[in-house]
Amino acid sequence: MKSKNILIIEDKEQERKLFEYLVGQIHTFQSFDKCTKALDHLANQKPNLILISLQLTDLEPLLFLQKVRALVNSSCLVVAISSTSDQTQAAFYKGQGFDDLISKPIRPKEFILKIQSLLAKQAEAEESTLEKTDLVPILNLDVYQQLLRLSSKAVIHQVFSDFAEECENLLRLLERRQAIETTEEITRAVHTLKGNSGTLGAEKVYLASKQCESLGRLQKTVEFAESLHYLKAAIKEFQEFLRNEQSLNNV
Amino acid sequence: MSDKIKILVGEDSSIIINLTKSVLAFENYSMKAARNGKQVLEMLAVEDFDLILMDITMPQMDGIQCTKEIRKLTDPTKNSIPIIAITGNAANHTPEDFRKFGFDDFIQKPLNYDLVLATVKKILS
Repeated sequence: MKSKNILIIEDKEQERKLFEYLVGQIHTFQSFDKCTKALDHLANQKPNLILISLQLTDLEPLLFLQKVRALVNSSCLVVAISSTSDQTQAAFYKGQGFDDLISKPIRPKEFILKIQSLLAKQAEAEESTLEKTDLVPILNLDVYQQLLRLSSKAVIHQVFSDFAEECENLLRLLERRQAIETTEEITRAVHTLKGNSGTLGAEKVYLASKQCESLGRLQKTVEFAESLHYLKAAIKEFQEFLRNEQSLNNV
Repeated sequence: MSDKIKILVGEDSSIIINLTKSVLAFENYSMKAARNGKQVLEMLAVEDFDLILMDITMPQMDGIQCTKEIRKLTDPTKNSIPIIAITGNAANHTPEDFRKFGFDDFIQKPLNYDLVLATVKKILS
């Protein structure tokens, strides 16, 4: 496994040093004694995993988690460090959205194994998402053949050309505006793109726009901004496909 | 020309309008398009149609509001016109919701035109 970036938040210096020592053997890390300092750091840095002591007093753990989720994407793991091994407490924090809970006293070997296991699962999930996206065709041929059966080739090609222009307009909109400030406007445009792309069988654009719209409506601004990158990539891939004049004629 | 079945499509996407027009023409239907709910009402006031395909999400007046307004019209030939909802977010409503709003049926986006034609034929039969 490649070295990952870990954020440690612990106000007790001795324990913070222990975490730094254990994590630092394998991964890079930043450490803080207060949640507020860590949140400032998160505005610019996106770690793979955050270790946070539940005994910190400058911010409620659940409030901290909420702020973290607004700043970094949901694939960032947040692991609570508890001073007790109370299973009810562990279940409660996991239910509230923490990815796991590690109890003190820290046993170095178990601690490292736990961190490695969580990071391995995270990497596996990310890879599996990428693989699934790669399997999706640029154009769903069944849909395209159905359209050709129900309409004329000239009309279908004109509609695809109009759709390419619509894609271009959306890309221009994305370049002009800051996504986070205009989530609603972009979500509306993406909604139209979703309906059109799905109807035309532009499968990758459809799936990317579907995800974007869903995140936009949930106002998950960080994930939404990230999903726009996938949408842009899917649009560019589709445009490239259409630019090759033979693509549609060959179908 | 005059004996063709006339369909009004309320839809703000020109891509869907052009595609639907072409598919319906292939089946010998005549089609006109309105870009929002208000335009649907305006066109329905001056012309008779046999069926409306109504997108739910449209600017100015959405498809649900427009359908409610149509059902309130006093002219029985206008207020009883069959209306099929087209929805991009089917999860937002149940089939029962669509019936309560005044729709005769609903189709989900992405549009499958075999299903569109089958639904149109079913409603008109």
